[in-house]
Amino acid sequence: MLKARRGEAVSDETRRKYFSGEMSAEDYVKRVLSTDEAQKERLKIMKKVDRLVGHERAT
Amino acid sequence: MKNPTDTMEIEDILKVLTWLTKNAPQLALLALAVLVVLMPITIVKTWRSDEGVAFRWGKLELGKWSHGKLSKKLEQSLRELNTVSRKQGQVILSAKKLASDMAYAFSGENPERPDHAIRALVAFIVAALPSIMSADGTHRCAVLVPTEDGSALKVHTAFGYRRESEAKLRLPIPKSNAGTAFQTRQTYYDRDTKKDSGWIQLPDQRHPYRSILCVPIVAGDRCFGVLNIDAVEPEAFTADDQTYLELFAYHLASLLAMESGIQSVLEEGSSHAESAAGRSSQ
Repeated sequence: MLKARRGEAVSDETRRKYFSGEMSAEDYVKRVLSTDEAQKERLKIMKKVDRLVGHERAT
Repeated sequence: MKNPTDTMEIEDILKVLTWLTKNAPQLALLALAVLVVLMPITIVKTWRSDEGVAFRWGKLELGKWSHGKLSKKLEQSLRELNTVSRKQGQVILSAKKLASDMAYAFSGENPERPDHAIRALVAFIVAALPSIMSADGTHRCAVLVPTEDGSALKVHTAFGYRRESEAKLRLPIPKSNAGTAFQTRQTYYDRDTKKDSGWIQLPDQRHPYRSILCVPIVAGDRCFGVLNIDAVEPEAFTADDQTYLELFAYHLASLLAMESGIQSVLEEGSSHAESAAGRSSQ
């Protein structure tokens, strides 16, 4: 996969493909939304919560 | 005859009362000090309880919340908070991507025609919106524009509709939810389509849609159309969803205004070309 420019969600090549009609809007949106870095951090927190709740229930 | 013992008792009581009145402030301070010392001990005791959190004063139990209930409630609140944050993150990401793509589309870098670029940008908004709405499940989203005679709204760009329905769909102005939003230029939220007479059900739609949110696409004094989104659950959209939709409706207004400008330039150009061709043939 081509690397996106700094601050960009997808690469220039992906964007070119979308604008030329080679890629569907649905696929383009999926590609863009999957780059949500902050969500990875939130998922880490939720995993911690799951662990704590599991521990608390076990004791 | 008066009993000497009775007189003594009354005197004693009076003495105690006088002493209490004299020392009332000191006694109040002493009581407060005792309370201050006892309170933390009680709290520590309650928080250390194996059963959960209990609020006790001595033997008296004021309230109790078991660990199970507390952790369940906290877990649920954290999950809700996470969902809200995730949606907000996706809105920011989509809005940023849209702004970046708009800059690219109208710069010299883009080799495609500007009207094609506008179509691609509108399609991006319409495809992104169902993913960033609060309620999970199936959503349809469409940009609706007025027909040539202005009596109804038709599909400009859609996501989640059947191809045949897209072409045939006509929503009368104002006798439909989207038509009302178009005419009044106000956001229209139909919380439950089962209770509303303005809802037009398509015969071939995939799901029974119960919520519909229609946001007018307005630029200056002109209304270009309506941004329309459906959800299968009743009352599926939140106040945040409405704000997000209104944000993207403003972007759509810029795009549709540009598209309309390009079309009139193209029409003007072709009529000039026709008249020039007519002159040269004479």
